[in-house]
Amino acid sequence: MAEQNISQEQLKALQEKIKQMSPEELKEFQKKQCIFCQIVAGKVQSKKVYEDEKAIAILDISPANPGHILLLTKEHYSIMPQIPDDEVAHVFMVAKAFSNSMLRSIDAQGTNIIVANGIAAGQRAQHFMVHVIPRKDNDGVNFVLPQKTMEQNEVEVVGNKLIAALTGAEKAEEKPKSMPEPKKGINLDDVSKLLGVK
Amino acid sequence: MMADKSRESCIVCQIAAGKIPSKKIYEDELAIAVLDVNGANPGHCFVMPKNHYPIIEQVPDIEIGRLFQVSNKISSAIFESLGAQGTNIFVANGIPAGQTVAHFTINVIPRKENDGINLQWQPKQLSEEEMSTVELKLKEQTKSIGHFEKEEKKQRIQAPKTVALSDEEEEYFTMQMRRLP
Repeated sequence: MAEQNISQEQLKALQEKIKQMSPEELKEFQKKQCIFCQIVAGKVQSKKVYEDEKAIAILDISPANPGHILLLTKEHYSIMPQIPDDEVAHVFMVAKAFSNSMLRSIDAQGTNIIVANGIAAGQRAQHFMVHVIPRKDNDGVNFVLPQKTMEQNEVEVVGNKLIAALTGAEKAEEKPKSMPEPKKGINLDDVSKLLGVK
Repeated sequence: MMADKSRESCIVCQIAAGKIPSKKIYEDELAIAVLDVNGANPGHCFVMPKNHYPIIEQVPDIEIGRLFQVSNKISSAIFESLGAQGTNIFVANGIPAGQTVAHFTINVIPRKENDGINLQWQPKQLSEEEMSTVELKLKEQTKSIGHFEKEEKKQRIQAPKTVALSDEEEEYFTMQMRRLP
């Protein structure tokens, strides 16, 4: 991800400029800053292994294992909740097809499919992507998922909160407003967040 | 058939059938989501097909689409209602990848800073030649990707077809699963 070092004055000028932008202009602006959009457009080189009208798959240049791919939406979405249902379905159908083909083409014994939403979850780029990672026994990849046992009353409380949010979201068909966008240093993309522009 | 036998002994199928109690947070005709009471973080959910498919390869495209749409909605609900700082969608296919139950499952995991979860990796250094080889091998197989079953809107979903996996293969996978501690 390209990072810019800009002065406070420039930042202010930029904030002002962004404030004036229409949502369409803002999306264009974000696209221009996004390295993965440039990969999609063919302006930045990559090892592309798949492409259709909605998605593109490239080899990860810092792979967990050889054959590790990044599956990207062609549209610029910085986080998963922004993605329309049909594109979500499509992208994961492609992920499944990749998972299948890895067992045959590169002798994988298993695969992991991983998405990170938010920095705390390990998201680094401002462009939604799915990792499909071929796995073998003793391949040195060690994912750690601890087990934290919940008390019965906590199960009820947490479960009911989720049910309420799910049924509420279904009725209103609204995207969540509280989701934090990934952030890293002073990045032009963050300006829109500072301003609360979506 | 092997499939029926493994369904009876499948803990997920029994949860879906209500024979094992669980905190269910979502259900439709294809998918069910329950809270993992021993999750990586409170709010960790399992999203699973109601039909019994041990591995992802057997899950029809339409159901894959639905399951991940549900996962996305649950991920959003986790942000909204649990104050999570992030979420992971995590799937393990096969034992080397960490699959522990012989029923395809998507994990939706709420995340906070320093929560003890690690889904990072040490990048492997590959030579230009190794990258090109793996690129060619993948491309060879992925030519056929792209013909997906489409979920027709406003139409009830047909009873899903079971993906052809021979009994031997099915047995192999389930045996592998049972070998787990």
